[in-house]
Amino acid sequence: MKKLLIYFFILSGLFLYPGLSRAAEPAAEEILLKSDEVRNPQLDYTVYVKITSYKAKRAPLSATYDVMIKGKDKTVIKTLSPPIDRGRTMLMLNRDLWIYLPELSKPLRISLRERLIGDVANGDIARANFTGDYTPEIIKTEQIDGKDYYVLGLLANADNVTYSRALLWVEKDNYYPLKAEFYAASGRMLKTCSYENYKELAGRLRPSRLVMTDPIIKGQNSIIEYDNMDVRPLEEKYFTKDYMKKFMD
Amino acid sequence: MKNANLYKSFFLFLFFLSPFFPALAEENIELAKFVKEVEAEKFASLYTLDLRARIGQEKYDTIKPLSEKFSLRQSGSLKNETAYRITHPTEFTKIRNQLILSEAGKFSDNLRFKVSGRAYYDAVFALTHNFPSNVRSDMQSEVELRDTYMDYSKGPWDIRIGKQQVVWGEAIALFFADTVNAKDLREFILPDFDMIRIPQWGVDLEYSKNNFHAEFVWMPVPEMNKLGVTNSEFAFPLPLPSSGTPFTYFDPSKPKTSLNNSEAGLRLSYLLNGWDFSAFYLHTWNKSPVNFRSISAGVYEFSPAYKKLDIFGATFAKEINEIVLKGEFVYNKDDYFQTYDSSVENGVLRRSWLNYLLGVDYTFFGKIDTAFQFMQKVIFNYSNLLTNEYNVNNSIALWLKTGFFNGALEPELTVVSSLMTQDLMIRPRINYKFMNNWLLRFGADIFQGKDTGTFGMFNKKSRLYSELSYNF
Repeated sequence: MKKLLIYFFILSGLFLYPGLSRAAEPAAEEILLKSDEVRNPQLDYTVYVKITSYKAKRAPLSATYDVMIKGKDKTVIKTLSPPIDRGRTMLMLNRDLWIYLPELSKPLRISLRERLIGDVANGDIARANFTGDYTPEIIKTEQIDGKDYYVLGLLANADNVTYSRALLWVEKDNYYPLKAEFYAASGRMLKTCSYENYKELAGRLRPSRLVMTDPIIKGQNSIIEYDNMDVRPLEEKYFTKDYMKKFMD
Repeated sequence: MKNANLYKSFFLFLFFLSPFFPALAEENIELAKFVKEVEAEKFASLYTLDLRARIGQEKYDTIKPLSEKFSLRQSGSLKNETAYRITHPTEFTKIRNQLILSEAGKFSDNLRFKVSGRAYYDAVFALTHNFPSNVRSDMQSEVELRDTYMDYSKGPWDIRIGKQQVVWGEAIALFFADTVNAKDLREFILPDFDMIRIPQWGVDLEYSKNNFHAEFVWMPVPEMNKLGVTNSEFAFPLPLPSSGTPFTYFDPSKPKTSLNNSEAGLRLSYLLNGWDFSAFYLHTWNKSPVNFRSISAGVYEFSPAYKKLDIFGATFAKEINEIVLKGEFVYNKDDYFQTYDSSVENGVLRRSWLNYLLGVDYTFFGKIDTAFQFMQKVIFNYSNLLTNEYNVNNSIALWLKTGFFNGALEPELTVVSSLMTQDLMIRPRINYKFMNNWLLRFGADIFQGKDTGTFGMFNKKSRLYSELSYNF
């Protein structure tokens, strides 16, 4: 009986002691990686992207893109519309960025924080994964609408990452991202993002709509919509600045 | 004549073959129609998000492999360009209406093509008497084949055969390493650069492997710069001691198409830790004629001729903490320089020279895109006899651009100044994009400085202009 009581207290301790029970949870890096896997295939893929920017008292502005992503750090974004910008192509290799302008017919180096359209930075669609760009840490867990979420603190691990810091809410059960907040180095909130409209893309449920909102200016937001996600091997040479002219047509 | 026939044949071949290609590929007219309908729907909707839902998953899956085999896309623009000279005599200098049409497509994922052309008519010659007849016949109207080529891709190899632009270099607002194509300089360097470059018939063979890229260019059909004729708005002055010097000028004859006269170049590039390096060699033509001169009884006689030129160059670009650094170095071996000095028998001296540029790009406050460039031209074995040239000539260029209303309104400013001749070109302009297809542009091209300067020579040609274009 005495032995049983000892076993009982030991087992109770294992389950109830918060420090020990937290050790059973996945590491922050694993949560972030799995959340990235929900958002995007980790293999080569192409996706159609539509960005609509809304500003108070103004007509919304839309642009559509063909996006090709290879591995974690190679992206080509080709502008399909509006016709006036058609042919503009952006290449991102790791954190190096080029833009091809049809009126110049040559690729130019640009930086990651230059705006692409409205409130959407180049990095918002060019960088598909947080893993690699940010170092994650589990800040807390939180319950929203009856579901449990990890709240990850993300700290940029290089100066030229799109945002210096971010908070990311990831559902505990399935690693679905719910929302994110992006901050400047000063701590000022730059924008929020909610991951919506989960639907089947490239073989699994993924968020097909991202709503990026300016926290200061009321009514100002941008919606990024994804469709026609297609996983297929993409040639290495597509992701070179000298190949950009071939995408213009 | 042979070339003209070759152009026509190629052009006709592509245009006549393309509509039938789906049928040829599938041997099924109905299926081909279906493919075209869906393609048309795709283009009309620009891949609207519910395409798959609208045509159904089953149909979509059926159509996808076919569309990967063959597709066509038409695009183009209609544009009016109007310019008004603001220095005396103030008058309209351009009322040009321009149509650009382009058809691009692919026969398979490896084989693509593009056919494009431009036609324009400048009403300033019909509506005014601001220019003499020689300018009118040179610039009133034009129909030309632009970029027209086939692309073939296999593994790390790519080849482009046809009339094309080959663009090397990193500079903004100026041509430095961008030396391959001939240029249309009848409006100086004021039009968009893709319109200044004259597409040339040739072969561009490229090899890409990891971070290494090699490019071999062969241009068998020599193409020369188009320069403004006498009394045109941006005609380059002849090297005369004074404006009243009597002279005769014979038009240069263009080099014939032959193996000997062809141009060739090689460029090697490597991307190392974000540093983008390239080096190139180009055996080409000095695409502006060398004005060989003789003097007979006080009359200057110019017998211009095109001469071969060897160009060596290197470029680099790198982003460090959101600052983009770039540079271009171009060495021209034994180029031809004009001289006023009558003791020089043919009015020409040969000198090698280096032209280099160092640039910094930065976006201030996340809003103002800025590029600053320092340029230096160094003539080796310099002689005081060279016309309007310095041993070392420094220039600077500044480019600023920002956007308002989601980028619909974009003010832009370009300033280029030669520090030795103290002349400059100032180009403010505002771009307004509206209704997805329209671009309205207002701007000014202001030239100041001595008549002998690169920009000062046009100090009586400053202008205001507007451009309205519809893109489709």
